[in-house]
Amino acid sequence: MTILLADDDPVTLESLAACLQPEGFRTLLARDGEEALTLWQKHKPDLLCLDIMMPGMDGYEVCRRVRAADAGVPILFLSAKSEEIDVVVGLRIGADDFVRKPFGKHELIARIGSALRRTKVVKSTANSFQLGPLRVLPAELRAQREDDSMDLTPREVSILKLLHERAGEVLSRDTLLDVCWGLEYMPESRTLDQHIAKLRKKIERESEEIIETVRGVGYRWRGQG
Amino acid sequence: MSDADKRQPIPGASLMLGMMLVLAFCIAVGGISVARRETESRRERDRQAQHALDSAMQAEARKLEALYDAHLRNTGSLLAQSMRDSEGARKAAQNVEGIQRVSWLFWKSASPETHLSIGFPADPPLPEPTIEKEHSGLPRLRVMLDAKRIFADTGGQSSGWIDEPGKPLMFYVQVLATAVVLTIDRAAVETAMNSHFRTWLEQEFSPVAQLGGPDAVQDAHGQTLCSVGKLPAMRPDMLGPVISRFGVWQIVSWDERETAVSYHVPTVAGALALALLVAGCGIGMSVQHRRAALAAQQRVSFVNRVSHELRTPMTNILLNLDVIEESVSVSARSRVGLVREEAGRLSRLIENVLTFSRQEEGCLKLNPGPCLPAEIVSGIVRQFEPALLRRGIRLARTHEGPETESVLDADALAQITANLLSNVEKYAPGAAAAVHTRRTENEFTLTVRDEGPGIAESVAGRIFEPFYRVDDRVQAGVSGTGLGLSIARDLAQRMGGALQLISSERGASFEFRLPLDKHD
Repeated sequence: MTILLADDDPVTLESLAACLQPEGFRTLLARDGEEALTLWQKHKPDLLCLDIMMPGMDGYEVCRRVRAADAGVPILFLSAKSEEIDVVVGLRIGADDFVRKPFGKHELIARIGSALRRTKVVKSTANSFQLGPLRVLPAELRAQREDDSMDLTPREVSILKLLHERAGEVLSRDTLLDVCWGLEYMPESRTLDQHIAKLRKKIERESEEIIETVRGVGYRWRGQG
Repeated sequence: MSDADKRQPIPGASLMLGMMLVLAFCIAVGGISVARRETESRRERDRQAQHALDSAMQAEARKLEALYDAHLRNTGSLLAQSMRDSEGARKAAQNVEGIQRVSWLFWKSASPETHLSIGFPADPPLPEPTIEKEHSGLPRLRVMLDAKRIFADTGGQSSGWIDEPGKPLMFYVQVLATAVVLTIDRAAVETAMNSHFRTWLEQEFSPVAQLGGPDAVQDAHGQTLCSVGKLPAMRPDMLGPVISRFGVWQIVSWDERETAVSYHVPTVAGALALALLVAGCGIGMSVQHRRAALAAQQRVSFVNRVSHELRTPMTNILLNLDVIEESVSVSARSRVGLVREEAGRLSRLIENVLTFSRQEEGCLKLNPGPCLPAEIVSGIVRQFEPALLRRGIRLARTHEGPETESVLDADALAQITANLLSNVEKYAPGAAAAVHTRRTENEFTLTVRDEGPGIAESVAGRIFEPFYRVDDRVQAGVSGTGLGLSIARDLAQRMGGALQLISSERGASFEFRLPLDKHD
């Protein structure tokens, strides 16, 4: 899952990347509109997060040009400009959502997830799998449990996928880190535990254990039944 | 952010200026019309020609009368001797204009009185002249004549008019013991005279006509025989009557008149001065108003700009807090949490100030979109949890009903929730609190309740006013801008809902009700 981030504030840009990368998103960073357009043409990311006020080509113009070539890719505006007129202009030229500054990591990830879902409704059932009471929809970054729906990050999806593929097996921390984080990061062991804890909080109900902790080794999903 | 500075038109100032100018115009017009005076001046004319015409016309009337008298006398004498020949008598009578009836009366004779109608029978029927006191035969309408007057000289001849009120006009000719009484149609004679005068005036009116008028000759019925100049509708200034037995004519003449318009100078001056004063006041006030509005706009757009500029660093702080939170030790995490709470407080403050300035500027608009309202409320509750916990507030979060998507402004709902929870945090330390949401088919309800000291009834009506704060609590060390509830209520109303303080036995309880469209 690749996301193009464009913002003229280098701190914001770096902070956004720092928030999204640990959640399993790949990021492309652009300092202005021209760079954003070049990166988009080269890498065709899955989603674009654009600041509006940028030197040279502004976010609206980038959005307009991207939309002219690709009607489907989700585009989010991240802006301190939230006057109604801006929203109207943005939505008219084809933006999918407005995220108003200031926002936190969780809000951003939730909005990214819902933008992806809205644009990928058609292929949503592809690659889905059942994990206990959960129906995991990787393309939508979402899991469904009866009437409940929960947002997942790409990292969480990959953890659940691995647990599902190796049902009944105890997965060591190293295996999980290797597969789900890859070689690009050298995360600490605690990072994995934090992710699992967060994931459990999301998917498990009271006194329920979908992801089982195997003390001293790792984690396991017992499989169906 | 140049478009944040867009100058809004100032309708109040223009409206006021327009009204003041209209008022000034009305005062000026009213004053001038009150000051207007019309004076009519009349110049008497030399009327020698008119007087001469009057005399000449009177003389002409006398001449016509005399001529007519002579005709009647001759005809009467003739008729007195030709009583038996009724055809001859009729012819003789028809020769003279205006004879309606010929009657033969006899002095002390057995011969009966005889009557002969000339022309069409009159309507109403003419009374028959008579001298007989006792009437024999059929009863008829009769008019009694004075026999002694008519037959004063039975040995000779006499004639004269019987022109008495209540009787038709009659002329008698007495020859010995026979009297011929002619009943005369006054109107017919008048008509004949009228037509004579018309011809006569063609020549005789010219000296008057040369003067240019306005002058005219009219008959008794107001019909104009001839005139010169434009005749005014008002009463004439001179009447020259021409009187005859058969009718009255008059020469009418008007003086020259001129209407002079003048203005009462003090009134005009007063009205104009007042109008100028009002207009000047209007312009002055509108300039003042514009200036004040412009200053307010500049102030507002400054606040707007600053608030916007504050959002970017705020975002960076929040994002980085999220990043470091996961990689710091447990002991440091509570500090990070504190920083996050303070950052959250700061961003709420920025939001409130920005919202308030937009309200003031009149450009606050909502952006409804599909969202899960209960989830938004829960998100805000989660943000507040650590701060509430530290102040010993036990918060219960409950939801009732399905969690379906609704179309509403998510940011506004978040702001309302945050402002209500912020009050709980400030005013109800150590108490229990509850956030309850309920979703029905067509309504979303949010209730925020605490068991703190509550709000005194005496101030309950004012807590939604901007800048209002409950006084004794300021001293108690509670901080705030006094904008939270005012903004929350305004947003609630803009969303189409209502935010109210609902009475509860303990503490304060706020309820936000938002009707939802069924198709949401």
